[in-house]
Amino acid sequence: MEKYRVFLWSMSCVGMVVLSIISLSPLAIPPGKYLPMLFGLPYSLWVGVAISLAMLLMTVLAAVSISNLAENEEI
Amino acid sequence: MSLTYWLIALGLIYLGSLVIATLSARKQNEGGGEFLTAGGDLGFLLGGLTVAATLFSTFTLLGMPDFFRTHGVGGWIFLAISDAALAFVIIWFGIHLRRKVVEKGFRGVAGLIQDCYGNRWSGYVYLVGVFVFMVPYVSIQIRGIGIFMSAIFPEFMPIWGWAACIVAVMLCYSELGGLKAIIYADAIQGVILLSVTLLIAYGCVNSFGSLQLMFEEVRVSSEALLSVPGPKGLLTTQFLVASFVVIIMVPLTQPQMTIRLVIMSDTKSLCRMAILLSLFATAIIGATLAVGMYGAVHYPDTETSAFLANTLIFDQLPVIGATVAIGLIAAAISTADSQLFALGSELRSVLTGDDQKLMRITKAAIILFALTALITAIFTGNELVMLARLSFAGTAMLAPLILAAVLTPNKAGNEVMFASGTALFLFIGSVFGLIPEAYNGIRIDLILLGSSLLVAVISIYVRSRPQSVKPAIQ
Repeated sequence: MEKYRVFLWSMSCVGMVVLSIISLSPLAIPPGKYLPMLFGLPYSLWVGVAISLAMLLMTVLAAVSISNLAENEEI
Repeated sequence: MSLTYWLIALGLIYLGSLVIATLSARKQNEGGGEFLTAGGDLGFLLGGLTVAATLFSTFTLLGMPDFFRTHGVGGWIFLAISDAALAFVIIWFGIHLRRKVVEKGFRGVAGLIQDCYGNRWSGYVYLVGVFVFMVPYVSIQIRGIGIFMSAIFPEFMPIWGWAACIVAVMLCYSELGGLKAIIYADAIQGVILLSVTLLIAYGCVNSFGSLQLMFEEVRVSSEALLSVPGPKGLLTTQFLVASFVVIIMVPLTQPQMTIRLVIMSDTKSLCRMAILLSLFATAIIGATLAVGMYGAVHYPDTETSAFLANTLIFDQLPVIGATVAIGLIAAAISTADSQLFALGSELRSVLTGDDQKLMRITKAAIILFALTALITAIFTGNELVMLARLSFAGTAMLAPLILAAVLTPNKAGNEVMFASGTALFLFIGSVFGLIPEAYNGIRIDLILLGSSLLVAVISIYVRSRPQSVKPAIQ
């Protein structure tokens, strides 16, 4: 159980860092480019929305992994 | 029925709910600690709403639609991505902070910093930073709503009149009910804020027929709005990186946020609150995007105040327009009250003496900060988002100081205090034009924050290593 908790926490931290880097790289924000569009949304916007939702998922994973932690326990 | 009628009716309901919240909080407050920490048992729903209402202010509801209208969809990366990451930082930092609070106790962030560094100067550096950069932020809340209300009712009252009314209401319930009254008021204001923004956004998208048609019209109006760096070239990668870094530091560096992490009832509530905040942020920023795109098509070259007054009030049914106006006042008040109250609490945390005397000083300080903010609001500029960003960048300079205090197992190193203090004063110098805003094309806020964070990381690492045991000299 403890290993599972640590794994989830580490996954969410690494995931968050990777998503942050992607969101600020040309992969998500290529200058002057708005194609391909998805559901009518320009490229940077739909990629940005997808990254926001993935970040929300990472926050949920982090919450699940530590929500039962006592106040003085180590992560 | 007219807009004025609805505004008076809804305004009275809003004021009535604030009075009930204040009286209820006042009844529950039992002492100085209760007044300043609201009992320290905040549930996730109330916690999520108060954090959201504190974080999303006039700058979100008035500034972001205008920001999207002017700079395009890159605004999503600027704020929505940063806020999604901020929710994660709340969990990560909140856990460490709460552990430190269990160990050292809590009377305010400045007091905690003093305890962790073992000297008073660390608390003073923090106080200077939050005072210099939070008073202008409170001022733009007050000014933002003043500009907006005077654009809707140009004959009724000047900007300073609206600003003075808002400060008076805010001071009444903060002084009477303490943090609990602010939290209750925030919950009401958070719900109003989200409902109103979603309602307006729905109307904006509906006027085009669909999201697809809305972006098609935006493309015809200005293709540059659909990508970064936007028509004015503001949203460069460096700007977005710097903004991301300073915004995710908000839970560490702005005391009104930090105190809310401490007073959550337990870790589970803290985590759920962060998830709720992330959902709230995505919803509200998505809604302001729709309002901004509507403005880009219908009011591309109009003045900011006219665009907002038309889009949010005059293009809507009177009842919706009046709800928006109340929602905007709520947004401004909910952020400004928390910040002023936090400034007062932080001042109290570095003072010592009789509890009643300290409480009197705290209440007087809140009034003094409010009046300073009111005066600044009357003379400040109109670029709300950029001023808000400056405030975030200024307080972000305190992040290494706080991180080292919370993460260093024993006594935090004075080298971090010196590094943060220097970064803070150099940044203030750059704001006043005493030193350049960039070196070799790199923004000064990135350089200063990066250097002091590096000092903090090294200091935390060195001080966290187990000390080698020297053989005892016989």
